[in-house]
Amino acid sequence: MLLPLVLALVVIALVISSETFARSNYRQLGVSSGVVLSFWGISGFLSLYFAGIGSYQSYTDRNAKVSTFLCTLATTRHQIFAAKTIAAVVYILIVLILLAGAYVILLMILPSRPVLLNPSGLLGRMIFTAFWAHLAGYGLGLLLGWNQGRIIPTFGPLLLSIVILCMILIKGFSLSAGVVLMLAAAAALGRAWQKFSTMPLQ
Amino acid sequence: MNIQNKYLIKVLTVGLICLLVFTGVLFWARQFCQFFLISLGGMYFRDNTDKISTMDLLGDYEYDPNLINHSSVWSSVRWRSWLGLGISEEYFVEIMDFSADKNYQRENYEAVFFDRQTGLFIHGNILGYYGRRAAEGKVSQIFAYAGPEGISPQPIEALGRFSESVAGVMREGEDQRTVLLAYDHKQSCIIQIDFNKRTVRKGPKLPANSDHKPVQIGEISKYDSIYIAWLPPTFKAIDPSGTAHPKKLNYENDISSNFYQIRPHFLPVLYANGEIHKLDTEKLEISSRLGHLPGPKSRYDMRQTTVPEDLLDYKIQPLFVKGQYRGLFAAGLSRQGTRLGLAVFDARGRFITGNNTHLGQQVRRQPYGPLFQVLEYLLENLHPPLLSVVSVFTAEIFEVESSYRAMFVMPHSYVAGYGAAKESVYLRVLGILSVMAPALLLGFFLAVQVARDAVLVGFSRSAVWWWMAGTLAFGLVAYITYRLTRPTIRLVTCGNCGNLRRPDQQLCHRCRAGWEATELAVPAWRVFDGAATQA
Amino acid sequence: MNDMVVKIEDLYKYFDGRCVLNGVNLSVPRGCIYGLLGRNGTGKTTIIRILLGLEPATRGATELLGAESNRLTARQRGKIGYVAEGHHLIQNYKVGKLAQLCKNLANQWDQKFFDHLMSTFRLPMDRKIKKLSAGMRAQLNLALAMAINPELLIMDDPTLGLDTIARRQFLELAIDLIQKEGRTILFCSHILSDVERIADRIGILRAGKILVDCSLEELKRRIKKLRFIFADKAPSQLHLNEIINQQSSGREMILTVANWNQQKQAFMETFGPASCSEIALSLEDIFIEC
Repeated sequence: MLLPLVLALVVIALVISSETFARSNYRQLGVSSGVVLSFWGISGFLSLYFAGIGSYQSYTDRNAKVSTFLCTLATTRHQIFAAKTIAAVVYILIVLILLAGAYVILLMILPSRPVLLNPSGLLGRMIFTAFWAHLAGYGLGLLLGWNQGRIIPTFGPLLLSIVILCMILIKGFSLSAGVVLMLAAAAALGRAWQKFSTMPLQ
Repeated sequence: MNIQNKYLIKVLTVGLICLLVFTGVLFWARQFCQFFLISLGGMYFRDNTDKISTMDLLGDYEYDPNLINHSSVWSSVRWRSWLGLGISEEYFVEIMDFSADKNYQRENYEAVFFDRQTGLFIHGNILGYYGRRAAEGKVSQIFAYAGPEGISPQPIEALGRFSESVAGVMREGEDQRTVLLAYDHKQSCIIQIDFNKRTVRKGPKLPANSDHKPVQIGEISKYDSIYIAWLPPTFKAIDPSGTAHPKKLNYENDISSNFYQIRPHFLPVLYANGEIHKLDTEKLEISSRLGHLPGPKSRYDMRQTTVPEDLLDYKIQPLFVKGQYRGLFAAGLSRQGTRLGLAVFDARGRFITGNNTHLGQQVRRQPYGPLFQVLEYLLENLHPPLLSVVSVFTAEIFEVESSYRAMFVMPHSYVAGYGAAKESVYLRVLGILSVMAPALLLGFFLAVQVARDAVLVGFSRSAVWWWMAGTLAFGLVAYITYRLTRPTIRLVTCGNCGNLRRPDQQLCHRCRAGWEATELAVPAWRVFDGAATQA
Repeated sequence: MNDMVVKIEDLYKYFDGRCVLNGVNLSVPRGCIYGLLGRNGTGKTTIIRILLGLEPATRGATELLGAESNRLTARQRGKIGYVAEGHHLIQNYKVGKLAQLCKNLANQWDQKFFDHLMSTFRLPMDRKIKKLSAGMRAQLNLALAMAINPELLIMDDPTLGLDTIARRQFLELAIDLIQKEGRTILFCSHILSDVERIADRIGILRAGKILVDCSLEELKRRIKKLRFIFADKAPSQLHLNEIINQQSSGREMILTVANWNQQKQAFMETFGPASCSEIALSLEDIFIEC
């Protein structure tokens, strides 16, 4: 929970510093667009972050045999996986809502055109797309974290998440990008579920 | 859920991830090739059309006995800004509000721009604008809000709201004040907004059919990457010493071929059906036809008009001679950016002449040009064949801008070009097959590999066929998916046929024998409940 | 004791092409203490892991409490206590936190009994699992498994790492548990004296197959170790079925035979032994002979 607050503070610091050190009118060109770019950049970073979380969860689970122990209690593998996924979804939503809140507050207090607050539902599309991108990253992390060794669990999710994020670069924060990322998230989580529910637990 | 269903889920999910990753990587690889093709040739390298004589437009000037060269026009394409990705479009259009028709600069920092949130045109002081396109920055002072019903210092309800407007500007009076002319789709009429006089005037209702919906008013251009150059006629002039030397018709005083100079008198309107008409700024109604956008398809027919959505870029430029309108030049760039069409219309809007140029000649003359084109062609053949075939049928359906952001289909591929071809079906199919030959060969090769391995691994016959069909349809993506989802179980020797079989299946997939023969030695004794048993 | 709590039918398991379980058939009736024995690597742990759904079988079917092993619901899993070889617990948790987790997930939890076990074993609640000794982890594992009041208790070498006193305590706990109606225990152990003490039925695995699946009394009755003294040299070749072990030295022959019966006795008498005496076998002796 500390992380979203830190991120929001970073965004505020970046924007305020860019305004504080502005020397000409042209500098103010980047103020409110800088907020948007910060949101985009942080969203991208968060996708990698959630991929890392997923990978870490799976890696730790495999090494510490957590799921092996849990499966001997009154739980099933499906419940364990569902609990992980639901927790991730909630975490992602909280982070995004806090980030969006910081975005809106900054744009309201900064001297920019009101249109930036929500041009054509941009904020809604950004959250929608970013949510699925983060969930896809998490799913990929869950999937690849089970692999033996350290290279694949470490770099695999990051590389695949970068490729998935490139979809946003290609299509922008559009509905089509959101749909594609939704499919990516479904595929990653589906495969992770299938793997987790059938693999031997050491 | 049984094992088969779970394997199906595994294949589908892994396949989808592979498809997303693979097409993403291929997209960037193709972008890389295009970037090199364009940028290494020079940021502003141009492809030009051939010159077209415009002697029919100037009439008497062209028959001067001292004439050396007739007037001509040609067009060229500059930097391909449409290669912008979705994210940059989003930034520049949504955030920076780069669309030309949304910001109308007056002078210094004074500007008029359309605010989508309020649905009103705003006249104000904007500090920090960037060029004539951006309205980003600090709105330090708002002078007035203008809606279809009025103009006011405050955004009151009584002003009404523009639903989806298209606007252009003209300058009026000695003080060259900016007057905005906007077409509102809901009101279906032209609305004139004079911010200085604080007046709003509405014109008569225009026909509401979708073909005659104005798309642009004033400066008719999509991405401003097309350049139209008109060369005036040159004459032989005798200087006081008696020496003859060439002299062009005075460009500034006699000829006007620049939109900005003639804005007060001339406001073209582009319709959704590609026609260009003149806007009567007094009556606020659409008057005479000026021409149409040229349709530079693969089978050239300049008389055929095309719609703005179907062109990657377009531009029009009027010709005035001594204040008199003489004609119109219109250029259009095809969807794939491979053909540039130029059309000339006279003062009555009649088509005079035109040409259609196949672009890319300059690239092919560069030493690396063919290399990158071949590389691009090969990359297109790595794309899943089924999606390449889908590209043929969907190429023309895409909106032009979004076609450059397509990952799964390739609207601008070599094979998709056959989608718009006018040849017979058989020739088109033959053409598609020949262009896709490397992809089909690769798919066939991989399908054979997959089939062989699937038989070894113990897949059923139907599963082998499905894998073969999938590999033929999806090529390398399917092959990678197969390798990732292939069962890793070690095979054991079948006691019946001696081939390798899967230990998790009841029957041998080759000879259909069960497990009668045991793998290990039978124990000599057993002690079970009940009667004594013998092994 | 009519219904089978554990049912294994034609179970095969391959690891990398090597057949570890080769057609195992086993049933454990309700209320029984079943001792599954076998040498290292014979597949005991594999059977247990397959039963609990931790490992997929290559072929065959396994059932626990009437449900397929890989389709056990959470409620059914809540009725099964498991003490694992190696005692896989969440290492970074403290004892108290782990107990709380198990309590929250359990269908039923006997806090009083758990506290009694914790005080008996003298386990600290505020220490991390990874800081406990192997024996303490075994005790904790046992306590967690017992506290849920399981219908079926599966234990894989549960006394590994326990000292003598702790082992005795565990055995008494197991007996206490079995006194409750309808409780069943399936356990593997290498300490055969413990098995002999509490088990009702014995199963012995060898080379992936079940060689023995009967009650302990039946096993002792059917496997005989006999010492024959012959007048002349003991016969070198005996065409007798189900010989487990045969040692000859001069006139003496020591024969271990399965399913000893009158026919076999009559057969041996044809060789005219001078004397025949039975050597008593403990479970450990039988196991070693096997």
